[in-house]
Amino acid sequence: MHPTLEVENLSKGYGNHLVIEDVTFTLQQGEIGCLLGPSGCGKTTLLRTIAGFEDVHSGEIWMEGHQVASQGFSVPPEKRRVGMLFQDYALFPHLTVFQNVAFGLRSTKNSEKKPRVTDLLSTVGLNGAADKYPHELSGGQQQRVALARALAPKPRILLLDEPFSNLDVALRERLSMEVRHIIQEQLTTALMVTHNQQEAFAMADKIGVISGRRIQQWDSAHTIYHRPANGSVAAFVGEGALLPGIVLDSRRVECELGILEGSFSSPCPKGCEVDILIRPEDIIHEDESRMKAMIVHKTFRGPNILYTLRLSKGSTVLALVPSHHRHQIGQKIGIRPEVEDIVLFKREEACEIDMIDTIEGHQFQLHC
Amino acid sequence: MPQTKALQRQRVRSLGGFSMRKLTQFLDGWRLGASGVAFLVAVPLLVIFSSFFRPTQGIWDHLIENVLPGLFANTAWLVLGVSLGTLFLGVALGWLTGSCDFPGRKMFSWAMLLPLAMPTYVLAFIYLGLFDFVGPVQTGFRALFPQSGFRFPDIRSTGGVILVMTLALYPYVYLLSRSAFMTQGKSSMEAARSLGLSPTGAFFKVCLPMARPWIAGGLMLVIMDTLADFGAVSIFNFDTFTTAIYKSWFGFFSLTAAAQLSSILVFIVLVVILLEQRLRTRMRYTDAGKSGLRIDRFQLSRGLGWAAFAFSLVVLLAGFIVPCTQLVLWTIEIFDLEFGSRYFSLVGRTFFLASTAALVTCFGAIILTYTKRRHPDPCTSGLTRLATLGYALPGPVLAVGIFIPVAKLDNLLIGLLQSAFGYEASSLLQGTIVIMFTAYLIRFMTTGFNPVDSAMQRITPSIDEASNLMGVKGFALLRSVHMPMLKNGLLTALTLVFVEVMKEMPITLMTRPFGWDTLAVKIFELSSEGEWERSALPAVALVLVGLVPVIFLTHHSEKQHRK
Repeated sequence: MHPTLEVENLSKGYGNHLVIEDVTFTLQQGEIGCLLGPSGCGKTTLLRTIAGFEDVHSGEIWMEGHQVASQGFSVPPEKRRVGMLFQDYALFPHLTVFQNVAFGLRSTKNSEKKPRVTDLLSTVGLNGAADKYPHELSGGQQQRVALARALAPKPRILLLDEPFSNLDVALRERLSMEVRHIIQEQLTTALMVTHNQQEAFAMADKIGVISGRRIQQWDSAHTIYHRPANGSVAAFVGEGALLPGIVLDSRRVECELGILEGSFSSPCPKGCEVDILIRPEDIIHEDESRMKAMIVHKTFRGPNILYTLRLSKGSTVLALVPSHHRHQIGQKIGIRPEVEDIVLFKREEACEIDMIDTIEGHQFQLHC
Repeated sequence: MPQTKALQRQRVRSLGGFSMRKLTQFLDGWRLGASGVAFLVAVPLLVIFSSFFRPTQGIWDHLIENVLPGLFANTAWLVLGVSLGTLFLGVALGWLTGSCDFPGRKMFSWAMLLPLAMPTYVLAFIYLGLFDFVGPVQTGFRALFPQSGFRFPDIRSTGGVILVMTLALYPYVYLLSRSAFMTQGKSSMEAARSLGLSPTGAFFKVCLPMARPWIAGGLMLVIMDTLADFGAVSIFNFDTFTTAIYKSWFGFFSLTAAAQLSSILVFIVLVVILLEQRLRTRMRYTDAGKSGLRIDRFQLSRGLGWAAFAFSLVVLLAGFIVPCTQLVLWTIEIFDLEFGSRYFSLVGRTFFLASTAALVTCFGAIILTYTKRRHPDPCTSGLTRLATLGYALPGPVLAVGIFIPVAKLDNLLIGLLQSAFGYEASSLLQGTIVIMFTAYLIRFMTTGFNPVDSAMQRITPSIDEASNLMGVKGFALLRSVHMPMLKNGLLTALTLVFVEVMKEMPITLMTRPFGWDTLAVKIFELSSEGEWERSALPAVALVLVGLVPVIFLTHHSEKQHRK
């Protein structure tokens, strides 16, 4: 069986300016994929190109074994059988909820249309709202109507453009779980774009981190967090710091935190200069530890406090400490590194990173 | 909690207290002013309504038997014809300039508004002159084809009136439908396509239905203007309610019959207004313009593009360029004869009336908007709505509705004066310009109110609070914060009312004191006698002044779409 979606070496630009370059990934039937990247990185353009609203510059798009786009060739959007959930929902204001959902079912017989719409409306939990108009619904309800409308014609693939960005945080988490559940129940393949990694983690089977016009890594959430392919992935996903170090042997590396021992994310020869990714949870706070670090900044996070610590030689790391350990800025506290899987990048790779993403409030320290 | 107790006591007192006191509490200075304006509007409305419910038997029978069937038929044909005509021109042009791209689109998108500058009665007499037996069209045709023997259909016909009114009024539908097409988010179109519709299908299934409330809103304005029109229909000798009201008053001297005809017309207009207000609420809900995406225009093919160009050009020629050219030619012909001190005094009087009316109306508008702002309760908003209802009264109806109560008041006052001071007077208010100004105030309050009100809404309560915190309050607040923020709105209101009063004809015609002719009345009198050339000179002034609001509109809609 062919994969539902194959994107091969896709490039897309306006004029001479490329927005996305050489993107390749595959989605299997029933998988939920996610393109994760900062605002303006071209992920929405990629999604619209897959939907057929934009032409490709070079490369190919295949759906279920049929080519739908290549250079100079494009199947129009209405023939691609894709569903799309728009960022502003794009509900038709002049139609009722029922008519909105039934809009894509014009070729379906009337006798089959009604049960299908009713079924979908109850799936999204809006049985009672069939005769209402979009303006009578809340934002969350509008989004569910948009979801039901996109799913109604049983698309090959559902595309979601920043689906939760217009909702408040509490609703966002609940809906993202619900939407994932509904998509799986309908056995639909889906591809969403977002700049919010929590959303990506909650929804997706596969995540593609986009940065610098390219997909840097296409993997599961777990792998992306714990085994980032390069520094820019590490920088965008999760929090942490990069510490310079030197490889001692195949399992040991020396840095300001002393000698760390564990399995390497990628093999490095002895003596190689590397940057080691230290996540906040890798630093354990222990009062009796001999290794001390000075608190330069702290952020209260409810159950934890995120401390920014300066080590003796001047590098900084982040530490997540249970919030009943209260310390003042300027105080020195004892720490102990606990790193089992060591993520390291060769020096020159890591130095390419020149961004600190603060959209979601997470911090990343870079040392080049 | 002594405070809450005091509050409770106060509440109890106000509930059980003397009702007069509640009334004086309610009627502070602002509300008193607003009530005054509302009262002025309510009186003619009530007078007209009461004459519907108290029909005088003989007149009513005569009306039903001889007058009404013809009036209803004429009005129905006129409304139907003008509606279809304006719908076709307005939607087609709105879609072409709003969603497509063709040669000259940018120029046409504002130029198509130009016919708004022409009062319907001006366009009417120009068309009569153009298609007259001795007019340029027929003479030209005879010169070209001397043997053809072709007889032109009489322009003085139902079709002729419909043509003229359509050309004069289609810009309303055009303006609203174009703005609807332009603000429709791109994503609606894309959503429809992702659900399997072709671009053409998406247009008819999504874009057009989404624009429907706007199109219908424009159509309601057209219908209101058609029903209220007096000038064009009377120049064409086409009997409608407005001309019948005029004739029964000034021809048969039956004010009662005029009032009863007015009451029927008001009912029809009110139905249209109710429809329009319902559409307005739907328009608010179906606001699709929030997405800031630039619309992708349909690139018309070469042939279609030039066809669109030709179509727009023909409409523009027929609605503006040709009539204007004819107007200028006539003016040149008679300029030496007509232009003189008499013309200056005519213009001077018109300016005096228009500018005074504009000042009075804007003063009323300020009172209304401040009252609305100070008291955001349903009672006050009802008061403002009543006070701005005057636009619904067609000019002749308003003239009748004002004249009747003023005559009664006059008689009352004369009686009082006579018994108190032995002073003999034949009339006090009748035949003075006070009546005219009252009528203008009522009729154009909405025109003045809307710009002032939208400016006022920009002064949020927090602006007052911020100023108060910095120690600016009372008159200083008014002078240094409110006035600068209201200035543009007020200027717009003054200009619009000024122009409207200058173009106004039936009220002036029916309520003016002897000798108070305006440009509009002069045009009416001259064109009623078929003196097209002599009507041209005053008409040129009106068209020039009429261009001002068109420029406002163009500017405003451009600003809206640039956002």
